[in-house]
Amino acid sequence: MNDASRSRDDGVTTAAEPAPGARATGPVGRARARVDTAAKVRGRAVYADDLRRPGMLYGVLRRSPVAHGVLRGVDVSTARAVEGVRAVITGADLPERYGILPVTQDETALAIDRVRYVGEPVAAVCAETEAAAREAAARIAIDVDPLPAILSIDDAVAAPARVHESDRFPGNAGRRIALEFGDVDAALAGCEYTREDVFFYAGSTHAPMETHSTLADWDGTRLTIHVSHQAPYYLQQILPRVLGIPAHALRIVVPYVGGGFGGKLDPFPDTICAAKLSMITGRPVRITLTREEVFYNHRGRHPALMWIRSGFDGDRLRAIHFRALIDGGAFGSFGTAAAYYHAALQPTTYRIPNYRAEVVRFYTNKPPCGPKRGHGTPQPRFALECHLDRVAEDLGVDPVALRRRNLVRITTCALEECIERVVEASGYRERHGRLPRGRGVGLAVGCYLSGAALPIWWNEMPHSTVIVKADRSGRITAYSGHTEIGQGSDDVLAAIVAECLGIEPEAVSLVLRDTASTPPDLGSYSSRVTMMMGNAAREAALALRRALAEAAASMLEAPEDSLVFAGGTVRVADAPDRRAALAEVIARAEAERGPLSFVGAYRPVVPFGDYKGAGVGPSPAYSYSACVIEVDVDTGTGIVRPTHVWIAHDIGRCINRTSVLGQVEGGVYMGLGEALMEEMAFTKQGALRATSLLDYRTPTALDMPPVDVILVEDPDEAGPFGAKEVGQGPLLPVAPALCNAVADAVGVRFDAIPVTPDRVLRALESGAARVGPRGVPDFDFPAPVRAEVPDDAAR
Amino acid sequence: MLRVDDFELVVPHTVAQAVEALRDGDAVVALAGGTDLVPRLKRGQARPRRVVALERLDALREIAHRNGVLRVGARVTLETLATHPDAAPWRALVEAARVVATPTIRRRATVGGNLLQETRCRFVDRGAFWREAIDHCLKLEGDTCRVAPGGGRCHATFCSDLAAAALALDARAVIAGPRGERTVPLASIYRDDGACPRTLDGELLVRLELGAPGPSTYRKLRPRGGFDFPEVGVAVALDADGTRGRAGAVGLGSAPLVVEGDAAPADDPPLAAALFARARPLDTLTYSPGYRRRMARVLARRAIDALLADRPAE
Repeated sequence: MNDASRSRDDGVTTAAEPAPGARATGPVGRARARVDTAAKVRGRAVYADDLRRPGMLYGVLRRSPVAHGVLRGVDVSTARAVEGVRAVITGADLPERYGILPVTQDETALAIDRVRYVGEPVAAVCAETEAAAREAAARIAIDVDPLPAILSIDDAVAAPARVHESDRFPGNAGRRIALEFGDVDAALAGCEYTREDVFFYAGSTHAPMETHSTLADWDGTRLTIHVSHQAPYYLQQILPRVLGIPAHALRIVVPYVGGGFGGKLDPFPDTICAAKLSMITGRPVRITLTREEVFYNHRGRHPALMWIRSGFDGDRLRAIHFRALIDGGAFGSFGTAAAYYHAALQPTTYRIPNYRAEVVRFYTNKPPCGPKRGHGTPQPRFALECHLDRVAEDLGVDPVALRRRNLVRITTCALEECIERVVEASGYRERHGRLPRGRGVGLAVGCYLSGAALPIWWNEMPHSTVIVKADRSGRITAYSGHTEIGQGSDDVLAAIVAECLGIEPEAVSLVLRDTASTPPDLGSYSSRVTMMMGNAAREAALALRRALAEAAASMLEAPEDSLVFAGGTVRVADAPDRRAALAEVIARAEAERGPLSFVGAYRPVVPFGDYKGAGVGPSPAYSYSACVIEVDVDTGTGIVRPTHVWIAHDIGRCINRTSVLGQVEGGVYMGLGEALMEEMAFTKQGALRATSLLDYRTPTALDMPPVDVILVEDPDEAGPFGAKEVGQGPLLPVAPALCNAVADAVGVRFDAIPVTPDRVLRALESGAARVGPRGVPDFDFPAPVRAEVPDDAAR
Repeated sequence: MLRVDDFELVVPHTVAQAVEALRDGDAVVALAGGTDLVPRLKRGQARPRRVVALERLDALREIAHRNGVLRVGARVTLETLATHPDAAPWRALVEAARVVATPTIRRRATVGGNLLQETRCRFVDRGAFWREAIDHCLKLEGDTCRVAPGGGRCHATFCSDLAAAALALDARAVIAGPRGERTVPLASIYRDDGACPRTLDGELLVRLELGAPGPSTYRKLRPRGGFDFPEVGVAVALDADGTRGRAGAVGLGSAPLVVEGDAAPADDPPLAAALFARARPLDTLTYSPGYRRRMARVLARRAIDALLADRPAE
């Protein structure tokens, strides 16, 4: 029995629309099993690869085995000769360029003229059986004249070859940005104390359980695509042009998605090729990637080489000059946004009166980087939080006090309480600097947005729309195009509708993510779903509630504002015997008013600056996290074992406490993987070293320490029932807290992650004070774009 | 999904039938639990013409302690070995069985399969496409070792946890061949060649036999608490008086290492130094060769420490 069923009858709500952020009394806020739990546990949940169609063909991609070169030719004749093959396509069949961001339309589904990374799709085959398709794909001969492969930031700067020939930026730079407010040079020149450090954050990938899968079905006039994807409405926007069909002829359906983390946000070659092959053959075509191929789709964390210089007067932060050179891989993907995010979210935790951020994103001959949980913010957060610990050491100030002294407050902000709670729970003050050698504790904080205020493709339409319908059967149905990628958004929808109508979440029927039948939602990215879909759902559900209250008022002969919706009934607050079943009220309302269908829509209205780049970072609300990690470092082997994690997260308000705890723990898990073991490493030929989940290591259950999660609920009026994000923020402080703990344990500063045992042992034996890059290469950044000094920072 | 190519499946009912099926030329492999073989079939690392499934050979499932000798059949699962009361005194072997892969794999994987597993290398345990991208290597389709290109031999590394323990415990292997059964030192079935790491040719490993055990223990270095093969695995078995010991080690070369030496002094036992001196790992796994070699010594020293600490007071 969960909390909701135990305490349902306690729920009392009033007919009047609750004030924004008003305390919910139904399912919202409780720890509950999610509405999709039973289907997933019983194996009834349908994923893209579960779908079958009569006459379905199987597609397989042929990929480039060369990291960089001129594509001389692709011989598909041997593939066509394989029995059962129905179509073979190459780059010439899909010449239209595309990209998820309007500013970087630099991809084609299949390589044309150039190959740019090992694993880039060059041709695609479909056949009657998967075996025939694989056989045929393997036989396709690719003729490449190799070029020097750009495999690192240093290579990209040296530029023995250019990954993209473009006049827009020099060498291999794909995007250069520089932003400044205040006067950083003058401020640093005048500070009592300055310090600079250099950091490297390794690239990593999402490793979702489900591999990407598409089922495309062209019936001669319409194309239906079932796909494991996080943002079907962006596909709906981009694919018609790439495929040469009218937008209204495309229907995208997203079943359950087995994990996204940002890895299923771009339009991918496998989806486009499945569609094209279906249009050629007139038959349904499925392409499901192998695990190895998921590593080639990638779009994961950008490797980042970073430099930071800060200046203080006493313990007051006066200025930060931050530089990042980030390794973007072969295509733009979300990289321009990632570059801006490297700059955007440092000033959201600390008051920085003078701030300059310079970021360059390079093209390299590796699978494209993109948005991985945290999207461009874990890297600079790692640099900043590790840097601050050293500043504290230099200044002889407690790292807690230094942070608290310089906090800033944007939207609702419980960061100070988060810090205090984890410091208290972990005994940080008593233990930092006082534990025996080999043991240590480290602190760090972070901040993330609750949804990007601007859409990726600029428009003024709603970001989320939800329809809530009631009918004479007594059924309440919610229609939404948001995507459930495992984070619990279906449950958020059901819980919010249920909360508004006094029923249980399980009683809400959901019709979801089908561009032909559900209203638009921009997708699962930027931690936007609870904020935006949740607000739309609440608006729609409250509109239905008002209609039902009107009918119930006449049935029960009581004023609308005396009615209570609870337990599937409507009753009069001070006369419990005067009640009607919700189904009867719905029938009466339908008879009186006609169809009961109500729309809620959400579009954030957030002020932002008037400069290029101002659109990245603004959000209706920000979440905050603070984390303390305790480590045990085995000085004989160099193995770093996190022994305990305390993490406090400012959630605003939980919609489902169980889901929130899961997201926090998941963020800790992913952060520990990045800090300790994950890395996208390559051979000298440019082949990814690890292409399986045996070799690409993410932590196992046995590697996870106990995680104490402290949820700080400080409702934000922007969020539905006060809710803010939790999907990404809790990852941010993990890696820097871990490295700060290692420094506390053994006196070695790890300014580069992952912190692997061989690196630790080498440092311990050599007596090194730090492990990390020596510097950043010279790079010519443009003059900074001037931004306004944030009001609060100026004080 | 990766697919397995077609092959002929033979399911013998007797050891003699199995030997007959196995001796029939090239491209014939034995299948027990399949946890090592099947992934390699899917990656196209093995393309057998015939697979001989051992599932009907109940004679290979024996595990029993009789007259001071532990007999462990080749088809005993790792989970059974890890939990069987008769095996408990051979502690290193039991400890090694407990840390192989994951519980799910241990329920299926067998003692024989673990002892006879293929050598591993970061340049070969990959899909066919990937191997094409690095222009292949000596162990499979190519003619150059990617780890040591000038050497003309394959350096793929032997990573059987059980072998380290069984060798430290001086195990014997019972082998069935065309001329019947023979019993040999386990060490004799291995050879230092990553491409062809075993001396068995068309023969079947029937069981292990281990004599009266002294104190023994196993130490494994791996990046994670589960799944991973050993980057280094060291088992140590001491004499009854605790003065001398034997170490078996894997992850350090194409064959397992066996060294003997004194257990004292504890801060730098000659046994651990001897293992360090013999170990010549190359860059085949995740951790660097230098680190793995160092860790062989650390693990051996820690194993000896633990065994000496456990000895009953005299």
